[in-house]
Amino acid sequence: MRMLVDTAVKTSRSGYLQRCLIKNLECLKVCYDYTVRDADGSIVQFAYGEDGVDVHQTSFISQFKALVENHAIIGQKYQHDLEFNNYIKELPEGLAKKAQSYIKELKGKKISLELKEPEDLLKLVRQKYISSLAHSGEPVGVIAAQSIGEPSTQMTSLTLFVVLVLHDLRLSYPACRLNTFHHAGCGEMNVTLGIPRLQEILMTAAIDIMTPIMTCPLLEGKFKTDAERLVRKVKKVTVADIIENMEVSVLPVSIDNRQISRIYKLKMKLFESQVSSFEDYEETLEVLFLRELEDALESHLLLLSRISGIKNFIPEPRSTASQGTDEDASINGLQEDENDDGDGDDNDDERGDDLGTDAEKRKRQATDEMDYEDASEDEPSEGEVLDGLGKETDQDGNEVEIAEDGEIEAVDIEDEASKPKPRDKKTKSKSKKKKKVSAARKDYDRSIFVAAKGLDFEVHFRFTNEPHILLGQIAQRTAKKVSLKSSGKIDMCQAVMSAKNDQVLWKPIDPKSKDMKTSTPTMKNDDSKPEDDKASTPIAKNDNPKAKDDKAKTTEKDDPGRWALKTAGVDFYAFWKMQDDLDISRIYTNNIHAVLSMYGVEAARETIIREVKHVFGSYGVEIDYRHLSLIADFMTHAGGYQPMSRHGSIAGSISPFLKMSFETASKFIVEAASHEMTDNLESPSARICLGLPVKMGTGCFDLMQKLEI
Amino acid sequence: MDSGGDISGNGFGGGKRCITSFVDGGSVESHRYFLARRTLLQMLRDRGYIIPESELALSLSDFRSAFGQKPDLERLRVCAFLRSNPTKKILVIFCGTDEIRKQIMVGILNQIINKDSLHRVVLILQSKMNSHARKLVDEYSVRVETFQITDLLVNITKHVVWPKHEILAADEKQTLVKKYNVEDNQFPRMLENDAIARYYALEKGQVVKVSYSGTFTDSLVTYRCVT
Repeated sequence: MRMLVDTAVKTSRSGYLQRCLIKNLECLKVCYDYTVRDADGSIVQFAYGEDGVDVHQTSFISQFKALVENHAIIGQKYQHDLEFNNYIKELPEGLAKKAQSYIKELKGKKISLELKEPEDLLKLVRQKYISSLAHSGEPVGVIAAQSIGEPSTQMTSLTLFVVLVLHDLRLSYPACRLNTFHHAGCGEMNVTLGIPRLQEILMTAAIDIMTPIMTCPLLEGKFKTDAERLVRKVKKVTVADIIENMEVSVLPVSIDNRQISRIYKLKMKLFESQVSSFEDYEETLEVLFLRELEDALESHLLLLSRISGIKNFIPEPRSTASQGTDEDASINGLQEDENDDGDGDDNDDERGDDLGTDAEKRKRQATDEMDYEDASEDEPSEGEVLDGLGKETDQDGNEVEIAEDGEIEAVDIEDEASKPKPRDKKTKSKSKKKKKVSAARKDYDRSIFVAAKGLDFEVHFRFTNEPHILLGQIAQRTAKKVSLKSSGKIDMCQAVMSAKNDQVLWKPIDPKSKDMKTSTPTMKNDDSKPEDDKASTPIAKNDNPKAKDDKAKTTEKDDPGRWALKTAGVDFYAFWKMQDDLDISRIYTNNIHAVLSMYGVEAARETIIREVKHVFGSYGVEIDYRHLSLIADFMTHAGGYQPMSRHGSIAGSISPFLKMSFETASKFIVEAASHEMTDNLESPSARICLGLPVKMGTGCFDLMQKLEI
Repeated sequence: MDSGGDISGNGFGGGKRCITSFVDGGSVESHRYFLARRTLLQMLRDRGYIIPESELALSLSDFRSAFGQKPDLERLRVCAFLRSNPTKKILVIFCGTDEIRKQIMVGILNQIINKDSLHRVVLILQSKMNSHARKLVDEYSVRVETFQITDLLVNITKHVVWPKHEILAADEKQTLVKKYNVEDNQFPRMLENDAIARYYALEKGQVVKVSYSGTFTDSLVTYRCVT
């Protein structure tokens, strides 16, 4: 059932993705000089797919054995020897090399099947190569777009299938994500895949991607211990990580200013660790942690009061049912429910509805851009909600209120400020106060005593007539949010071992170096020992080298010592600082904009190819390299990284008809009219608009007859 | 959280100290200058300036013994001549860690003696530069390039997978233009503020030859025109 729904829902997305691709790439065709050009004559690729070969003809071009065996047929097919022309003068380097090595092999074996001379093979390959060049006028753009678009429609149903097969453990997990994979054994690090990721790469060219990661392998001769050491350096340390135990006690009755109140005491004991000094601890806890805790308390109480409000008015749990599906819906649901009950007047409601639809209509008429707003924005929040769900099920939530709150709470904080909601007066006034006061100490703060000394931290809160809460849970959640130490934008860091399709640029292993490694492990350790000795503290000195030796021995057998660091979040500088241990020349990230700004366009182009390949590779789909390279070349063709939406390169197109027939027709008509733009009817869309044959394939030339009159 | 476990173990090895301080007792500062200077020299060499091999091969310890733990910014200056045309001279100045304001910039630029002999100036910044100082730089009679020191810690062209660039000479460009019958703006483009363009100090209209020897293809050559 879920599969069915998923397919039905996602088809629209992949369809739109394909449409965007096709509209953007429709003008690309192979020209007579074998370049791939856009409608305005600008070059996208100097040779289609880098060697000019038509994708359909690629299967046998480097299978020399088959070529040799079918020598006679190929000879028959081409009676005249095909010759190179002005533009392509020789075999592509790679193919020529392969052919040469095959010839050597033939000579070695002394089996020349039907060829008289091994050198004849070169001629044969040349024949084959020239005959399989992409023809002029080939609409390669559209072909590339379809080759990406078609597998992406299959990805919708495939997704679930792969998830089921690979991660059947997670089936029972309520938040079985459709478009993210949990890397096996990698804890919590997720990677966006599937249609959302494709949209991100191709359609939106997003600057802030959902799951940025960065990887970098360690230098050779570094082992797991090194990797772990580095991980500790980069890793974000939150307050939660250093809490040894946490104690909450409630003083049920205390009288203060003739008011009966309860006092909640929170005591925390911390680990002794060397992350930072005690002063830093104290400061973080007293300032940042307390602030967050107060805010969390406040929003939690707000939520409680709101939920209890619903409970009083509506007996059936309507709102709770909708919460799981969509956070927006749930919020809206809440709002509506309260509206209904507050007014209790049907007429009012209807009028409100009418107004609403009217306004919506007008809005739509004003800008038809609304329609095309792709739904990619709601994707991360979906993840958030699911996260919340997952977490909540871990904790035993006896009270329904608390079990539910996790989902909404994440949204709550942002929504609070932006949307004023009709609510009971008490909360309203509170939210107003919240806006007004933004100083360090806020009005609703409940703490009456704070002490952070060394490894102990204690804080007291006074509650008057608020409902009872579980302070421990809230403190726990807050502690995870507040960080003591973080390096740049990196959220998480792990040491990973080499695996297939893991987005790490491993150094290719050649068998020779492997032998070297096993023969000289002791030497390598000697090299690295002095470094450690100098650096580590005297205590560590005693056990470190020993441990390292042991580790080295075990790892030598189990794995070739190929470790890499992988982080969530991208910060090149953090890794650059560690270039003594990391192989910086193999740093990689999936954030294409980051690559563009740091390493230039060509690196970004390469990253696009890798990323698209990775997305499809995760589903077991392979796409011909030529298509990917054409798309990457097109996206980076103007020097930046342009999305394939109406804001991207299509906006700079010379053909107004093309733009109009894509999206927001009125906008482009007005633009074309006011700038007196002309359409030279080069682009396929423009020609179709006027009922002319498209200038692709056989339409790209005219036949002239010399008439003798 | 899976992190709880290993933190409770030996605790944090190095605390807040930078990794470089592990390797030897030297200061982080000198290490940073060393890396930046090395990348800078490589960059100048790649641009075609005469840089002695001994300078390029300078190791960290040699650098420290030569310049000390807290290198004097004046001494770090580099001066080099173009190989093809030795009259053209480039000067590299390291700026201090304070925010660069107009006053400071005036001071820096006034220090440059006999600027007529200079062809370019490279400023290595360690902090932000405000708009007034930026304006001053733009109006300076010699062309001034600016780099953040953090961007120079690693030589971006040394990356293994990402392709290599090569600048085409004017006549090579002409043959290319003739072969494909294109104008400058019909080439695939590279922006002037692209990381690679900045590295090689490319100017508008120059064409770079990009050669891949990657994992996907055996070899690929393509061209980009700086715009």
